[in-house]
Amino acid sequence: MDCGFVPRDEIDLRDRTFEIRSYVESADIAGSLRRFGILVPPWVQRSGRGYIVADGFKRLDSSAASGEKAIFCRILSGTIPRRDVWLQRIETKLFGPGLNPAEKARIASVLIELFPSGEVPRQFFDRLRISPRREVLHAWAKLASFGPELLQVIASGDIAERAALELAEWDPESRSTALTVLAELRCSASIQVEIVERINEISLREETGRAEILHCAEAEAILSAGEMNHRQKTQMLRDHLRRLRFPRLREREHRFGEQLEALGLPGSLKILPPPSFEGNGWRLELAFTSAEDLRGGVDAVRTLLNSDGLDSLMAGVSPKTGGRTG
Amino acid sequence: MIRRAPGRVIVESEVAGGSLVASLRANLPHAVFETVDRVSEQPCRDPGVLEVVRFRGRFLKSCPGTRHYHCCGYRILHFGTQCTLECSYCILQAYLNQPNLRLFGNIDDMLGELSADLEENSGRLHRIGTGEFTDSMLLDPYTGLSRLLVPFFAKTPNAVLELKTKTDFIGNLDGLEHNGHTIAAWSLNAEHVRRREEPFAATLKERLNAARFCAERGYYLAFHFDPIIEHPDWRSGYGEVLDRLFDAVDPSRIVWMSLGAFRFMPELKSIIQEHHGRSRIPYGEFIRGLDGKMRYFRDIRVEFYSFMINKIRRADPHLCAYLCMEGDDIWLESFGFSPRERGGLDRMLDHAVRDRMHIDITAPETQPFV
Repeated sequence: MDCGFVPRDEIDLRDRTFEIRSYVESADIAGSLRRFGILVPPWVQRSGRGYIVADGFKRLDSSAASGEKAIFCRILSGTIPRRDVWLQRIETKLFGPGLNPAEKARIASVLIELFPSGEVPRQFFDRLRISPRREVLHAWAKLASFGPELLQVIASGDIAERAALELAEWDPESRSTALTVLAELRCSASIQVEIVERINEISLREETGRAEILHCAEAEAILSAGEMNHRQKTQMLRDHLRRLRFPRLREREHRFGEQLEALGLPGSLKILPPPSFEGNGWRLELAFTSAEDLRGGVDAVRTLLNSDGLDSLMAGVSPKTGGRTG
Repeated sequence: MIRRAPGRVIVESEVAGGSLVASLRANLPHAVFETVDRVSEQPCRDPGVLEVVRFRGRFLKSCPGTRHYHCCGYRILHFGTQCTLECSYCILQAYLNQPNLRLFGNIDDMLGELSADLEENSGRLHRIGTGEFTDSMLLDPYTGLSRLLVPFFAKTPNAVLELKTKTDFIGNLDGLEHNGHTIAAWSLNAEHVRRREEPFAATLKERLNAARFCAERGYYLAFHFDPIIEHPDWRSGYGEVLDRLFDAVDPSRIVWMSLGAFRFMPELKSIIQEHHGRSRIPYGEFIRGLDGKMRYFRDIRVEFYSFMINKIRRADPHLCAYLCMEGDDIWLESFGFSPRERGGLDRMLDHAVRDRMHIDITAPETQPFV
């Protein structure tokens, strides 16, 4: 590999073949270039009578804007195959600062192209910190095909990697809707994944569009509610999606809550059903602060035991009809 | 039903001279046979491959029940693993290190262990089946295993054999001396589920015809609605199968029927999503059960079971129907009693053997079991 000054007007900055775009504007780079100029030479490859960029797009874009006539570059021969240039380029990227999801997606798409048989070298996966399964690599590569607006959102870190990978499989309209919602909710990665998975599963089960789920009146009312902050909206949307995903469990929980309230128990006494009402592991909790308090609580338990309401509560049936309500 | 005969049989040298491999060679004339010292773990599944190995573990296992739910007390005669019927919900897909069809070639060891165990425990009844880790009859046209097992159990006073399948490969059962000790059993499902989730299994018509064929030859029958899967209009789907079943066979020939709503280890979900993208079954209302498996929310299970048991009781009020891996609360709500009240589920099934198959090695009971 040679080094030398390359006339600026012989470098074709429009050729972005080897670009791994970060989609994140960095004021730091521009400031550094202003103060010190280019410290690490960009790579260019001979192409016809000029050069194309192999590495250092931001540096070269910036130097072009500052009007430099010649730039000190590492010069790759035009005979080096594209695959080899890419491998060197990816290698340097993997040892550089952490990659954002948009950059990882671009690298994944290049690796799939360079290694069509699926034999992508294992060290790439390790350094990219992605699963070596081919379908995972494909999902990453699919992310790279998103439009620049979506890639920007993903690169910014507003959308978690796992949520973005799930969204890669969605239709463009639903994906765009979900990305907008998630960016607005600013929730944690695990909650993003939960929301995306819930929408996906409801859509598959009910055979309805994913975007429709987010465009339904209730979801839209939550998302547009001016009086709620993003945390409250997130919680309301999660509750709404849970109701849609588990309608009968949710209905039973609701009924249980109503029946419990109707029993009029003192605040110190709690009846807790088994998780998801599975099995017989019911619990009764009695909090007390004194012997007198305990006596009062035990009396309340006695009254409860003699009422019809307890059996109905545990069976999840209406005490009047004997049938399931709701 | 279309047979998908293995095209390549990999045999471990230790069992290459055994009777099972001899049957396979005779019945798979077009297959390529390879002999190896040891069959290695395969990273990928190949449905055309059959492996025959020497099994070094226990052939007789207990039903993998857990303490949280009532278990049938069934015992498994472990003669092989895996299945090529490719049902979307099948747990065998999760056994990733042994993805290919596999048979145990040391059949003499298996029968020896079985004889010794039955002799050692001669004072009790043994309900033994082969359909836990593979389909009992899928490879029977090539192995002829049923021609060994059925006569073996015919001479065993304290045991019954249940051959559970989703195929109609019952040709080998014809003409065997079974002495009323073999139950031919089918796993059944609603037509909608069969079409979508059991693509390579026999059709319902084929399964019911096969059942009738066996009943006509004196075999007792059993049916398993497991997994019951929620789908649009499931009541009419499952109701129709029950109607067709009771039209096809005399209910008095049926020793038992089991009902089990779909449940699965959590890791199966991603496998179903990956291998059966069209399947909608992972998107039901599942919660985590007491045994860690995902199960339909209990009210849904109660709906399934109440519907099914009502139809079954209308056809035959004395037929022993049971729930597979359910707790007291579900039993009581859908069946109206708990197995505990009747000595336990295993006792209920022992009594079904006594009442229907007239095999009785237990002390006489006065209370009828329904």
